[in-house]
Amino acid sequence: MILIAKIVSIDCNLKCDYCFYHQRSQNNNRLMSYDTLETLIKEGCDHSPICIQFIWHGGEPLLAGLEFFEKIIEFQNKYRKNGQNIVNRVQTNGTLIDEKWAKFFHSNRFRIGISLDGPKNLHNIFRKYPDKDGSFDATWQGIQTLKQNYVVPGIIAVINSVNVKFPQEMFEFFIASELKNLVFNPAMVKDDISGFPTGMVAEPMDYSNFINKIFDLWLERDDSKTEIRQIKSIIHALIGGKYRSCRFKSECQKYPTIEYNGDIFPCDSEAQSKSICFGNIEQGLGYIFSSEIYKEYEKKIQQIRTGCLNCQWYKICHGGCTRDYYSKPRELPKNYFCDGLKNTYEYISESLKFYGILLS
Amino acid sequence: MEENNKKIPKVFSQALEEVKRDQREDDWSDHDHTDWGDNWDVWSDVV
Repeated sequence: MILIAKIVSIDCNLKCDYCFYHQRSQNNNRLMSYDTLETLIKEGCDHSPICIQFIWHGGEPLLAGLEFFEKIIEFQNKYRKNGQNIVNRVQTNGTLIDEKWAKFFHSNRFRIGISLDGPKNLHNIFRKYPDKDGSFDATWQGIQTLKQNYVVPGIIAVINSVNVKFPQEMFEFFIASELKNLVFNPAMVKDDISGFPTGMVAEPMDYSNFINKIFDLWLERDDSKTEIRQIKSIIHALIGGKYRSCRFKSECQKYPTIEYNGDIFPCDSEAQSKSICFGNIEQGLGYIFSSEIYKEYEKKIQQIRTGCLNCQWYKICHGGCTRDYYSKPRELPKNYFCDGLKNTYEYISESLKFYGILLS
Repeated sequence: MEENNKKIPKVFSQALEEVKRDQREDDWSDHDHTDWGDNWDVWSDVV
C-alpha cells in the first residue's frame, strides 16, 4: 500500500507558475502534528503488514524540518511489524537539501525524487521563488549534495508548453548529469472559470512528439540503467506486464493522500479541489476503505472513462490520469492528452513490432 | 520475417525480463507523484 502524506499541506518555498496549488493562498506555517503523524504511521503499518510505502509530499515537505523526519523514523520503529518492509520516499524541489538532510536520507534509506524541468534555461522559466528568481541553482546544489552523500535521486520533469519543444536538450542534459531515473509528467493547469487547460499546458500532439523523441533517444542509447517511467509503463502494458505508472491504472482511490490535518483525499492531484474527502485518519484506514464515499469515488473514476471503453488502447492506459480530464457541455468527459497519447502508443507499438516483440 | 532477425535492444530485453519478474513478485506499483527509480539496489548505497 502507498500512503501520500502532505505534511505541510501545499506550503512551499517556491511559487512555480504552473503549480496546481499556485493560485491558492499559502500561509507557510502548516505542519502535521506529531499525534497525527503517529496515527498515520500506526494505521499504515497495521493496515499493510508486509510492505508499506510512505510518500512524504507537499508543497515542499522539507519545510517540515529534520526533527519531523526523525520522528517519522521513531514512529516507524515503534509500529513496524515483524518482517515488515517500510519504504520512505520524498518528492522535493531540492532547494533545501544540505549535508544534514543528505546524510539523514542516506542513513535511513529514503528514496528521493527531485522536481527538475531540464537545464537551467528551461527549468527557470516556470520554477521560481516568490520574488520571481529562478530556482535552478539551489535545486542543482541540492542534487550535488545528495550525490556526494551516495544518494542519487530520481527526477520528475514537468513538461509544459515551453520545454516540450526541447526533448533532445532535456534528455542529453539529464544523461550528462548522471540522472537516469526520469519521469516526464505533463503539466496540467486548468482555468478557474472555464475548467479548460491554460496556455502553460503542452498541446497533446506536442507532448506526444516529445515522448516519441525521448523514446528514440532512449532506444538509441540502449542503456538498461536509464529508466523513463512513461516509456517503460507503455512497453510493459503492451507486452502484458504490470503497470509501472498510476496514470495507466484508473485506480486513483488506491493512492490516498493524507493532508497535514489528517483528512484523506483520493490523490494529491485531486486533493487540490477539496471536493472529495474520504474522512480523517483518526477514523482508521479500515473504516475509510469500506466507506460509501470511498466506493462512490471508485465508481466515479470508472464513469468518467465511459467514452474510452471502445478505444483500442483502453487496455493500455485505462483512460489515463483523472487529473487530465475536462468536460464540455453535453459531451462525455475527455482526457486532454488522449489524442497525443494514442499517437505515442502507436509509435512505441510499431517499434516493438519491428523487433518482433509484438506481432504485426 | 526480416524484422524478427533484428537484434533486440537491451532496453527491450530488460523490459521483457521485468515482465517475467513481475509475474513472480508482489505488486510494487509506483505512483507518478514522486520518483525514485525502481532499482533501489543499483543507485542507493554505492554510486
